[in-house]
Amino acid sequence: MEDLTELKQIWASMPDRSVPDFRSISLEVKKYRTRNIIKKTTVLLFVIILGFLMGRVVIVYESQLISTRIGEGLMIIAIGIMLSYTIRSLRRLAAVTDLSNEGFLKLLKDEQLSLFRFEKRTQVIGYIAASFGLLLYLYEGVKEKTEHLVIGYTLTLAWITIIWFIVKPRVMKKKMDHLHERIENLERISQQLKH
Amino acid sequence: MTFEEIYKQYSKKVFRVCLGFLNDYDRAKDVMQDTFIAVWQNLSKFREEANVGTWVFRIATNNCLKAIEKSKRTDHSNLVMDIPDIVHDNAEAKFELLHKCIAELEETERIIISLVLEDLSQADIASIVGTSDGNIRVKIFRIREKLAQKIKDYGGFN
Repeated sequence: MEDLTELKQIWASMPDRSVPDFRSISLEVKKYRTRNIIKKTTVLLFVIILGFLMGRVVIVYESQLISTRIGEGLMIIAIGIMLSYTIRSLRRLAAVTDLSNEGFLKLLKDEQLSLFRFEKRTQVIGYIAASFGLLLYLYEGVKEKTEHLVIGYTLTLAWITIIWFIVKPRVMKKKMDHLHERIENLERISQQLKH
Repeated sequence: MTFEEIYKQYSKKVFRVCLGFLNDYDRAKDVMQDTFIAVWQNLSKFREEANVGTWVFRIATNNCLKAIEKSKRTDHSNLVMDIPDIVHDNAEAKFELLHKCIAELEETERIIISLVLEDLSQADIASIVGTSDGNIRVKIFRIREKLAQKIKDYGGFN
């Protein structure tokens, strides 16, 4: 075996120019802080605007039919699901600093699996709620004139069909492949610690 | 300890560990920056009874694992040093060869040998990795043997 002292000397001989100085790391920290504030503010603004718009529709618009109210309710549920997903993505692994490598790998794997379940089940529920909500909500506005009814529902159904049968399967497949690969990677690295 | 003191004391060490693990200067720099951002973020929560060095290395190695977890499985056959062509003298050639050999080890082996070369105690390495003292001793022995064989296969340092 090569002498460990020699290896340590070689290891420590890394050229000095490689490491950023404290000033540049301080700048990075400040940039990170700004980015973080912008990110959180954007999500918060999005929540406020969406909440305001939905609230306005529910309170101001005096619907005649129960289907409109059900539609509104379903769309609020879909928005809630979307928001919980966004906030969850932002908070994910934000401040985990004192776990061992083994614990951290387990956490990453659990996170990936729960994301996997979310993508597969909860998001589908969100899509269904949004689609039915839209169809029900639309009815009151177009029911008076046949041509409005036909055009309105044709366009909405076409849009839902494109989302459900073309866009969503493609996006989901890409995401699932990526998630599978990440879980596989994590399992492989976890195995190394056991042997 | 202030953030600046921690940075000055550990930045080079953390960078070397990240470089040993990722074998890529730019990614190592990114992971090192992420590590110190996490240190800065959590400094107020850091429990004084723990060793600050162990804590910093734990964050760094977890960030390395996160970085590799995001990327595709490393193909060792393509790992011919992403380190810039800086071979000006014998010392740099040795440094490059050592990194080349470490890059060919498995992920967790790269972390363990980097921490060994940073002179951390076996107990500290065991706590960072999350395994027992006995297990880490055996692992270090095996990794040293494996690394020695690789160095030998490349003709050694002379």
